[in-house]
Amino acid sequence: MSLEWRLAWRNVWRNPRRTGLTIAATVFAVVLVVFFVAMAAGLHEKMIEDAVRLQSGHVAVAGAGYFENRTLEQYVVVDPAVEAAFDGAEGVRAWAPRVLGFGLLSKETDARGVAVLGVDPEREPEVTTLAERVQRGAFVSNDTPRGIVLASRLADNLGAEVGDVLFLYSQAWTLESAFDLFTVVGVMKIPDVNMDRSFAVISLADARDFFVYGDRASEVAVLASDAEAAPLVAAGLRSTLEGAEPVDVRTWDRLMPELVQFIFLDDAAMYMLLVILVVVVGFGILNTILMAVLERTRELGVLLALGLRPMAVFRVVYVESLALAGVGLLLGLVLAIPLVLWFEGHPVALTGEMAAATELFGMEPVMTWKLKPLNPIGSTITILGVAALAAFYPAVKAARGRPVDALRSL
Amino acid sequence: MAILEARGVHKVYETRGVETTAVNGVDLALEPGEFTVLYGPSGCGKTTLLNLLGALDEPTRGTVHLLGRDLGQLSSAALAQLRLHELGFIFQAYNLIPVLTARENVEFVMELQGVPAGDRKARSDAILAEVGLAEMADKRPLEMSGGQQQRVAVARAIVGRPAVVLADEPTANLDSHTASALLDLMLQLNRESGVTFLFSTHDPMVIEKARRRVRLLDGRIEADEREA
Amino acid sequence: MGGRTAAVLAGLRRGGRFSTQVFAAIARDRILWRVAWRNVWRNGRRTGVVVTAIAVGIAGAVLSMAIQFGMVFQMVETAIATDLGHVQVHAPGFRDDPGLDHRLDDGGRAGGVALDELPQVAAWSPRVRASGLITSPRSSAGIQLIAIEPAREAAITVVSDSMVAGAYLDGDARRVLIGQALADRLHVKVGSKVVVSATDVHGDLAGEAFRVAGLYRTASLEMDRTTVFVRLSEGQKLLALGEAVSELVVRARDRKDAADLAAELGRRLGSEADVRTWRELAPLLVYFVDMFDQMAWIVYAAVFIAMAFGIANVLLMAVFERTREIGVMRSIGMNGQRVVGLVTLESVFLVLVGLAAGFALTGLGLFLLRDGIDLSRWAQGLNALGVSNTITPVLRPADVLAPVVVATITALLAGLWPAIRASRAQPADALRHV
Repeated sequence: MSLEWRLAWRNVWRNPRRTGLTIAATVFAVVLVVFFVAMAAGLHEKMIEDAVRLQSGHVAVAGAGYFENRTLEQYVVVDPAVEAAFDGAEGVRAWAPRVLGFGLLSKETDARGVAVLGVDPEREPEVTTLAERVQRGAFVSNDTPRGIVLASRLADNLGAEVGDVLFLYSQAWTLESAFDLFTVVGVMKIPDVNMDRSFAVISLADARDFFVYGDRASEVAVLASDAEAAPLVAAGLRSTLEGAEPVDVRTWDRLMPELVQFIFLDDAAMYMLLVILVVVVGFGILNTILMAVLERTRELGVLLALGLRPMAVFRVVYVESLALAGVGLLLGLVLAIPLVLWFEGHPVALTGEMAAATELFGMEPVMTWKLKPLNPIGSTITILGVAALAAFYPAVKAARGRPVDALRSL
Repeated sequence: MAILEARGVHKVYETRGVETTAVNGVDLALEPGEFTVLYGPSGCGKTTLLNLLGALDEPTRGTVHLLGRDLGQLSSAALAQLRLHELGFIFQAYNLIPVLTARENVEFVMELQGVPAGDRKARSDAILAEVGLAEMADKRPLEMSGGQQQRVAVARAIVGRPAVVLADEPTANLDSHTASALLDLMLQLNRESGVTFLFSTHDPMVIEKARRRVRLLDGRIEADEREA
Repeated sequence: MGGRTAAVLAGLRRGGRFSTQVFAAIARDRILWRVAWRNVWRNGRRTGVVVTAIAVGIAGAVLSMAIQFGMVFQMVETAIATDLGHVQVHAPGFRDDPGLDHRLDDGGRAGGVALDELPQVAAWSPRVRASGLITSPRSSAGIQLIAIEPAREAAITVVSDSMVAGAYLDGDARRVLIGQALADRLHVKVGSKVVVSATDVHGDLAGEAFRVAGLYRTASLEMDRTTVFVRLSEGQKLLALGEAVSELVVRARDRKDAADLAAELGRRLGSEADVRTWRELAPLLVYFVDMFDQMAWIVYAAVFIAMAFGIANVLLMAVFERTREIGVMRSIGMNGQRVVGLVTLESVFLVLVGLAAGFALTGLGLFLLRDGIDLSRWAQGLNALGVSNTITPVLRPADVLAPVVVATITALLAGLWPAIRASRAQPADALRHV
């Protein structure tokens, strides 16, 4: 270790109480930053995963214009050639064709407008979590024709239970009226309140029959290995399906722009507060280093008088500040990382009002943490950056002093 | 009866396992109205003895009685009370509270004593005039000379009407002319209002003017002579 | 065990007595105030840095809370202004099962009479609510059908002010209002024909053709996608309701009156009607607002804990470099309680100066943001939450109170250690310190 470094390091410990308080503040900030960033990362990843596994997977393939309009008019034909294309595409974990229509579902005098989703009973559970959400009864199957699964609030509002027969009225692809009787085979709980009020599932075969849709599908939902792999999978599918009829291949972030924007706003609010926290701690470091420099004016004068170059004095002060922040940072990370990893393994289930409030966002009431490598790296850069900024003024002040003035000051 | 009395007082300091005896068995009694000087070479224990007599420190052995009360038996709050009402202190330097003006420094003690504002004003005016600083009343310590600061310190020490004023080398930082004037001031106060003074010093001029001289050497009283 | 408890209790009692004496000293000795205040300014640079830190921390935290609360406030406002109103009156049972089975058969007349007499009521209007299907030549969608009296409804909700094309429901018969988002989905425009179908009160499927009178766009994407308005009489006819209505929606003169109004109305209408405030009608929204409230306190606490280290540090430095001075004060009769009082006051003054600077900075920020923050880039995310594109920060009393309370606690706690340190030393030891 060079002399300058040794000098700076020993200076850090000359006033242990002051150093201790400054380090404690830094540790506090680092723990909060790492913890909250990991909490937000976990929350957002869960939101994305929940939404993706509830809706159209990581990538959705549909006829051109479907995502804007969501009507029967836009479709993809799922023939054996297309099936083969999906099966052979790289990065596709699973895929499922679906038909989406809207209709009026009634039981006796009660009626509700609903979105009716036709799903393949075999393939759908591989892509989305719809089948797992069934609370009573069973999911649709090819063995029970004209079976329907209702979202729980919809079932409550209609007063319908498993076994009840409902009347579904809509308009077929051929623009004729479409109506038929369906038997409730199951009730499922959907976290999104609005969707829970107005959503029902029937089998793909029934949907194609009811809407007179042939071998068409509204969309094909595709599951990739994770959200980050979605763009690659989408690009692969785009090139494979090229040349067939016009199709639109979209990744989850383009399917749910409001989710992406919500995450952005949520992040913005959180980072704003973390920045304030770090700035406050930065002022603490500034004050400590400034006081250290001012009370050592005479000593620094001696160093200058001995022939130490101003740049070297500047460096000594700088290294002192970075060492101060570095110790706090290290301690903070040593505390925060195991803490966050523990929480990563032990998600916290919310209850009562908190749980109810998360439902407003269509989320499951569970808090999860996720430590991404960027989190501690970013924290490190931020804290050291703030320390570097905070040390600038005191360091300049120390280096600028003339030996004579400095020696006279005591 | 003695106002302030030390009986068999010892003070032993321990620093890093090494014991130093600063005061080594001192018996000393001050009578009301006395003007006494404590002198001796540096390190003979003058300051330590003054601190012990002034209830600023506790003796390792022995007792100190102020107005007949054993200081060793009193709580720290009671000691603070005694210092406030019965003792006045003057130090070598940095005596005054730097953020307060001369008048505020003088009034400080009276405020702590609970003297009403009107009385405070009258008494601080009178005492500042007496020490010759009527015009400097609204100056802060940094704006005054060392001699003026010590005069304010004297004013502050006697304004609370204490039984005894203890002064630790009050003239050490002053030139001989100023020192002499300060001493004359204290002598005059002693004569006029009968305040008991105890000094520590090694200034021959101060020793000269005192009416009782106690010489201290290695923590023991070596000589104690009174003027007739 | 018992002995230890007794010792702890005695310690607590001593501590309690000591702090009472400290506060008594602060209250009695004005000189402590003067000395503490001047001490704050003795090291201008150091004080300046701490005050800046406190000010930036407070202004930052309060402003970002104000912006976020501005959003929450808008969510509530949007919900009230687009649909909820302040108070709603239904037939008993409607809340659990919002269908046509639970209706006000008298057309809400009893409620209307009571409402006209209540001074807190600004406006009220009857509505019919049903679930249905809207069909255009190109497409169909599930909808919430609301039948309104156009003129009365305009005094309560914002739909009449939110028209982006065509006109609000006026003289012409058989007209509907739909959201811009729904129109896009159905590929219809003003003047297009649509069919609205629903199950009527007898359970029969009823359908009727309407023309689109106008398109609206509110801050709530959910509403724009799903809510269709028709004239009350036409809704009643479609659903074979006679003169029955689903609900009365009420706007109070002041949102704070909602609870009183609902209570009074409930008393007058007895068991014939179910009267609810917006808080009861949208419990999730209320939970969300409450959650936000709690979060705000956590944020303030976190920022102030970070500051407390800095404040304690400065006080500790100040006490340390003034050791001798404190020794002089003790030798002229200041007791421990007064010394603690002095340092505590210094801490409180330091924080108060920071608070004042912080609120000045907050005021400046609010002034600069008085026209709101344009967030149209993230409009979809906001509208999905029921928040419009421009957010105006809203400063609540709690946002002023919280920093003051938390800051005072911080000042007292941060000053404690230095204060006790200062009061502990033997006066003689302190005097030896140069």
